Order: sequence, then C-alpha cells, then structure tokens
Amino acid sequence: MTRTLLFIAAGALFGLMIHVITLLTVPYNASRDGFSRIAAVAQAGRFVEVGPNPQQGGLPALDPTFLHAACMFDLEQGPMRVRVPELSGYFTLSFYDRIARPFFVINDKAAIGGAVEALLIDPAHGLITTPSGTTRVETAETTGFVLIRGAVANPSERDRVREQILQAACDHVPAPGL
Amino acid sequence: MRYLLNLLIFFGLAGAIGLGLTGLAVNRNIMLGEVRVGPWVAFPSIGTSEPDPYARASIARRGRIPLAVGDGLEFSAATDSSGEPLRGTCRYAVEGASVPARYWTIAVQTTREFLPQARHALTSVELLRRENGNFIVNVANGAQAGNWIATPESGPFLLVLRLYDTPLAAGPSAGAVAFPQIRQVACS
Repeated sequence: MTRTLLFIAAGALFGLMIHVITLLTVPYNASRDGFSRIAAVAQAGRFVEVGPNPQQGGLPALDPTFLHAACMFDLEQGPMRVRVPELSGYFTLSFYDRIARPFFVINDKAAIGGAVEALLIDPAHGLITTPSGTTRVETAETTGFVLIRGAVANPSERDRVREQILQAACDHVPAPGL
Repeated sequence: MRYLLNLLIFFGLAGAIGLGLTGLAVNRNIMLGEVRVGPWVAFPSIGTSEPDPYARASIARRGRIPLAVGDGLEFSAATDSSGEPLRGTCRYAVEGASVPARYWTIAVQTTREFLPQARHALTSVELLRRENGNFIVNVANGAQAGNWIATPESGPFLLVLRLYDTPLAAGPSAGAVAFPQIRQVACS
C-alpha cells in the first residue's frame, strides 16, 4: 500500500513539474500569439497600421481610441533607426520582443522639436555612436517589433492622426564593421 | 503486475495534473499579481519585460500585445461596484472625480465579438464634466444624454479603464486612490 502511495506522491510532484514546463512553453508554441499576428500584417522598413479587429488581421484588446502601427525589426541586418514625426496628441513608441514582451517605451515627452528618434541596437552593434537627440535602445533580442500608439482624443482627429503615424520611419542602418 | 499498476498511476497522475493544470490556467486566463480597486482589476506584471509565466501564457494564447508599464496601466471591470456582473440588458453609470493619469480612456469590451469603435469608448479629453470636475459616463445599449458608451444588446461585457502616463504604474499604491464607481441604474 505504501508503495502505491509513494507512486501517487511522485506522480503528483512530477505532474507539477510538467505543469511548470508546459506553461513556460506556451508562448513559444502559440501560433496565433501577438507577435505572429503582427508579423502577418507588418513588415520591416515601414510602419503598417494594425487594426483592432482580430477577424481582419488585427489584434484583440487594443484601446479603441488609439491608432496603432507596427514595424518589424531584425537586428541581424544591423541597428534600426526609428523616427516618429510630430504627432498632435499623446503617443508612445514601444519595443517588443519575439514573444511580445515590451522591453522599452518612449513617450511623447521625449519628443525634441516634435519628433522622436530612437536607435535600436544589440550587443553586436555596441560601437555605434548615437546622434544627440536620439534615444539609444539596447537589447539582447534580435527579432521583434516596434509599435506606435497614437491617441485619438476626439473622433474628428482620427484621419489626421493616422496620416501622421504612417509618416513614421523605421530603417536598418549599416553597423560599423559590416 | 502491482508494479505496472503503480507505474500507470504515476504517469496517469503526472499527465493529468501537469497538462490539466496548464490547460486550466490558460483557458481561464489565470494571471498572478492582481491589483484590485473595487470592481477594477489590473495585472501590472503583464506590462513588464518579465511577466509571470501565467500572464505570459495567457497573453500568448489570446494573441494580445500587452500595454507596457511605461505606456499605461489597464484596469478591467466585469462587475459593477456591488459585485453584480455587467450585462448588456442593464444600464450603468460610471461616476468619478479624478483619475490619476495624464490621459485616460474608458471602453466597453467583449471577449468574443469585435465592437466597432464608434461610441464604445471615450477619452478623458472629450469627457463632459461638471463644474466640480466630477464626471458621469452612461453605459447602456441605447443612446443616452451626456457621456455615453454603447454596450452589446445583451450578454456580459467588460469596462476597460486605461490609464496613460500614470504614477500608479510604479507600485501597488493603487488602493489609496479613488477609482470611479460603477453603479447599476436599471435593468430591462
């Protein structure tokens, strides 16, 4: 009898281990996770609008009073320079990794002369110098995406905010030594 | 024979508990580190670069992009202030004085269908307030005077309060701050 109890206890313990392990693998196995959805509509090199309707290639649970645009990055192609021109309202620029964890956020308070400039680098690009007025974002991640969230404070501003957001730029710059 | 049985019990239990718990956690969207103020609930962990494993799994499964902690904090209410689940067949009033954020928005959100943006959300800029700064947002399926956001005709929904550029993101002092009340006005 005690033998069986031992097996039961061991089974329960092993079960907990399996639980932890499988839980940790969920983000890497979720085929319709946030990153995949964004990767399906966005590209590297330019910002593409991401909508709030999951049935039209958008993402769930986005603030409906914001406009969103994403740009993919792959730092193996070199550092990425992001430029968000002057937006009339509240906006943020956030950087996400391969499993959609945000690792850096810049909000409109960092805007100099209305525009926000950032340089995204990984350790391999360490020697590159950041121009003044540009925020240096260092990460160990190679792939991910950058998301602009622009507030539409009044519905009448929607088209104007969309126009401004889509003027944002994201391009890879040559890394020193490449 | 006995040994085989014990082995079966071991593997059966391990599999059932292991996969069962994970399935449960992911399907119920269980997350840790809940911050609750009245009916409003937030999970600040999901906006950090190191969310807990439950939050990470839930976000991935639902295909969400979390609001970064330096961007904003998202509070959801599935019930009114007295604990009754929010339903499209009822009318509610969200009443408050001030919300601790530079900019904030309130939206009706459902778990399944996508609601078109018009009139399902309001921003702090377009909100009409009384002279003393207080505000009321009417939440109902049919049009209401003043501030109004529309709900589905029936069924459960969430009220989502998103605070942008808020000092609350820094720590669990949310309990000390007064959040808007959600009052049920009438039900049909």
